Amino acid sequence: MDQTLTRWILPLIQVVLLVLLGPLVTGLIQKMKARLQCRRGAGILQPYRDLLKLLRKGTVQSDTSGSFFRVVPVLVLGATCAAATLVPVFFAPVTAGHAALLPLGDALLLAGWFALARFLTAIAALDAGGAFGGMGASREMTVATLVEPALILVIFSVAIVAGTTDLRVIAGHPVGMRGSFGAADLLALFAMLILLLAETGRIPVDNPDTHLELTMLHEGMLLEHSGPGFGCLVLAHHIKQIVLIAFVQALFFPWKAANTNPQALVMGLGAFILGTLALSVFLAIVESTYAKLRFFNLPQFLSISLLSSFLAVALRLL
Amino acid sequence: MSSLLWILPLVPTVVGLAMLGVKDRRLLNLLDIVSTSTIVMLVWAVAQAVMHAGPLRAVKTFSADAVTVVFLGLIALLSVTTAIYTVGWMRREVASGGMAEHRLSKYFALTQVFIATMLITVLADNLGLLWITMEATTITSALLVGFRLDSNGLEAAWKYIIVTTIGISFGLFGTVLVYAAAAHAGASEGAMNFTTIASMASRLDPNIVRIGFIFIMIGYGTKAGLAPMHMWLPDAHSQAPTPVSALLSGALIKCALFGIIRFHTIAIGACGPGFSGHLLLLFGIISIVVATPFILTQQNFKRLLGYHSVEHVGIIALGLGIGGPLGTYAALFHVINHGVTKALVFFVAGDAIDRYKTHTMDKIRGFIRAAPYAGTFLMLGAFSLAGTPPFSIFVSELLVLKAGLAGGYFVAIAIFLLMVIAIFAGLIHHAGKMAFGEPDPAVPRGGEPASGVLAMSLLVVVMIGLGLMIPPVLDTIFTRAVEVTLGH
Amino acid sequence: MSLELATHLIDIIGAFLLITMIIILEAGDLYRAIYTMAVQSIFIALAGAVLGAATHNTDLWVIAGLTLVVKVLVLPWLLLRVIHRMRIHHKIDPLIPVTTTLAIAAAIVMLAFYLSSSLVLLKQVITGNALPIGIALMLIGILVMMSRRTALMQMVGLFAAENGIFFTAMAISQGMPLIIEIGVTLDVILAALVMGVIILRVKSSIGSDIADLDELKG
Repeated sequence: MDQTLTRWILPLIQVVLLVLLGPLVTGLIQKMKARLQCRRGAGILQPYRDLLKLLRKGTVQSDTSGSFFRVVPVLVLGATCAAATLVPVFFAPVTAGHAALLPLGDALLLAGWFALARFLTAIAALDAGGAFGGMGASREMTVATLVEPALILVIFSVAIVAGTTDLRVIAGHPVGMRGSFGAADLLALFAMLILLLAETGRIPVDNPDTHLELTMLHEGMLLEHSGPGFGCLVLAHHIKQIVLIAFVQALFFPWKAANTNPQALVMGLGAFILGTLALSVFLAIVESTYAKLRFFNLPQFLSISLLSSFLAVALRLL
Repeated sequence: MSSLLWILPLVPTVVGLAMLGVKDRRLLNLLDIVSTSTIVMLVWAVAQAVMHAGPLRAVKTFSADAVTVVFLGLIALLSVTTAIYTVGWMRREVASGGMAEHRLSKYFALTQVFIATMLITVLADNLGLLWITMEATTITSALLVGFRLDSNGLEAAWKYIIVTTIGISFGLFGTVLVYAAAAHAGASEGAMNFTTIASMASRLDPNIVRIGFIFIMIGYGTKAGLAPMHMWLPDAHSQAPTPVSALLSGALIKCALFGIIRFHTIAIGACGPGFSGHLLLLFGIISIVVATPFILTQQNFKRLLGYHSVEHVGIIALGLGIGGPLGTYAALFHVINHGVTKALVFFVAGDAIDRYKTHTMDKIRGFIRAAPYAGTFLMLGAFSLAGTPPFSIFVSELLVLKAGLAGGYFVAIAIFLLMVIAIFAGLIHHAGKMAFGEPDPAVPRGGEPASGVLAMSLLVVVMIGLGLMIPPVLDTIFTRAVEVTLGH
Repeated sequence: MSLELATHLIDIIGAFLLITMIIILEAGDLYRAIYTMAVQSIFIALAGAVLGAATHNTDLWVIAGLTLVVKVLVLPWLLLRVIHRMRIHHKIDPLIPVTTTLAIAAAIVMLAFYLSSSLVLLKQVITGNALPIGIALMLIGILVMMSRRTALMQMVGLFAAENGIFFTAMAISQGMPLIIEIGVTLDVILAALVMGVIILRVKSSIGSDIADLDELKG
């Protein structure tokens, strides 16, 4: 029974939690942004309503696109959900140096799933043949060339001390293994926060609220999609956001339950909720206080994160 | 006697402050000459004391040994001749409107403070103080370089202050490293004092000193005008008012060399003569090689002299790098010789530029006709700078050569000779074209100020005198200075 | 405060110093660069205070206070005043692309680690990464000075480089002797004043940024 609980039920609960809470986090950030801008804003459940609306609608597809175009949203959602299985949310038991759960994959695979989702989205955008889709895809890929190496470096900087890239082991060690929160952690966290802005498509990298053609990155790629397909892509984006938030916590604030003791589980969940709230506030504040950067200044901004993650690795190794 | 050490820099400081309240040009000139002559006398007294009683120390931060005396002598000699030269120069400048009357007191006061900072630099026993005053010389002289407030002067001043400040940051870092090495080797009291560090140099960690010396070499090397960190030097030397150019080239860059010599001594003690010597040799050769093409193709008179300073600083570094008693002797001797000769040629250049109203050498013709004294001094100075006998530079260059051959540095010496010959040809060509021929009728003839002629004659006497013989007193000081430098 | 805690805190402060340095290096806007420089100086002052508390060396407290007054208040105020008087655009003109400078900065950090690894003796005395971070800060500060064509930015780079030297001095030998440290700070203020005067003079008489002048050549 205990085996089933730790191996199947709790991990499954974590994935479901991430999928269900994804839109809620977006709603929360939108609400906070609205408040910071002295607006009342939509309710925090608005993303759910949007999703429901999209799922009920019919699909319109451009003539040039093939049947692959229809499959893409599902594949993207699938890849993102697969990524969600890799991050511990509140439960990360460790026995003798490795995770006691199913070895589904590690942090590098997480980056890989995201890359796959991004690739599929871009391919579909090109397939539709619209000008904005192509532009959005090319921009998204440009950003990706800077974001992905930095993400991998951040992972390495933590993995070097943890001795593994398995996120559940990294998050599972409460104290001792990583020592205290040092200079390298700080630099990696700084890099990761910039990556969080870039990966979740937020100001100053991208503007999630706009459909002005010249400023779109991510939204540009989704322009040709409609109906349930579009709903899947939007949901995938919500999930990606919360997965990244969970990922930051797993790397840098690993306060997870180590066993199935209910008290520990509640503590772990509480820590996760607090962490998610804090990071949402961070995203909302950055979005409200910064202006979107010109696209040509983006490499400059993102290379800060590349440099500081590089420094984090350097501090660990040297 | 040791109280002389802090009285010495106090004199120009006090006089400089007093000058701020004086408006009259003649009085300012008089104060200038009085202050600098006092410096000469005090330096003489310090030299006597060091000769008879050995190194002096005062208030834990000042000290004077034979090396200090060499540099003090140079600064004192150049300050006093510059002060004399300034009398006539300033009269002309004020008359021609090049210098506003109400800014005179500022100019003189700044010059005095500039001299004071140079004096403290070479008197400093504390290496931190050495750095602080070295940076202070940059600040005061940058104001003097840009004193005309025209765009070229300000550009030169900006380049000068930025480049040397970047450089000197390296110097501070090197100082911190050497200080840390001394502190860790057990020096509790005065771990930043040169005498303390030098006396325990063999116990310092050679690795730290090595890295520290690299930083020092880049840092103070920038200030000394060693290539490839010399970019500021031709600009600053060509744009500064002439007396300031003479001080910059004759004395200031030598102060930076003084800093390098101090750390050279420490490095010799900590890691043997090889490391710092080879680094100095390398920078010396690079400076000589880099300066040559610029000297050959230069059209601007004062810039030519600036690049020439780069070459001669290179020769001094070469002498220090070859090392040994002879090489070091030659380098220290060259410090004096180059300072004296370069100041002389800058004085001549100042006269020529005022007379012909141009910096371009092609437009200067028949200088001997127009100004018989300055024209003659120009030829003498040019021959001296090019390294012909019977002038003193010939002697020190010959000594460098001899030391190099004795030490087996054949490649370095071959490069050195080749460059010196090329520069000889170029320099005599430039000087000959300027000195001979018929001047343009529009150019004023004669009317050389007596003060200028006097200042130049003083320098010429020293220049030829040292070329013919080195007085025994001076020989003793140099020999002692060599011992201090090599850490015996 | 125990020495262990102090070492840990200094380590964290070192990371903040590096982060602020990267932001200065990347800054495309003078205001951001100046404010970041001020923040960086706050961290230098903090490092001094932490070390002072750990070693009971009152000189370090004085140095921390001095840094706070001079580098956090006086110098940024001076720079902002010069901007105000010049009424200039605050965009910074890079000589080489910022991305390239960031790459060079990465190489500099490697160099700093290489250098500090050969300083074996010092490494034993101070724990953590303070020495390489100090070296890296100084070199990156100088990189800022060399790679920007805006005069004020060159000054910001200078102050940042000076911060690096102070940090190194603190880390490897509990700071230089107090009197020397004061002298160095005084020099920095004087240099900043003279630079400010030159910048304003050029702006008022010629109307351009001093760093743009390039008539002197050859």
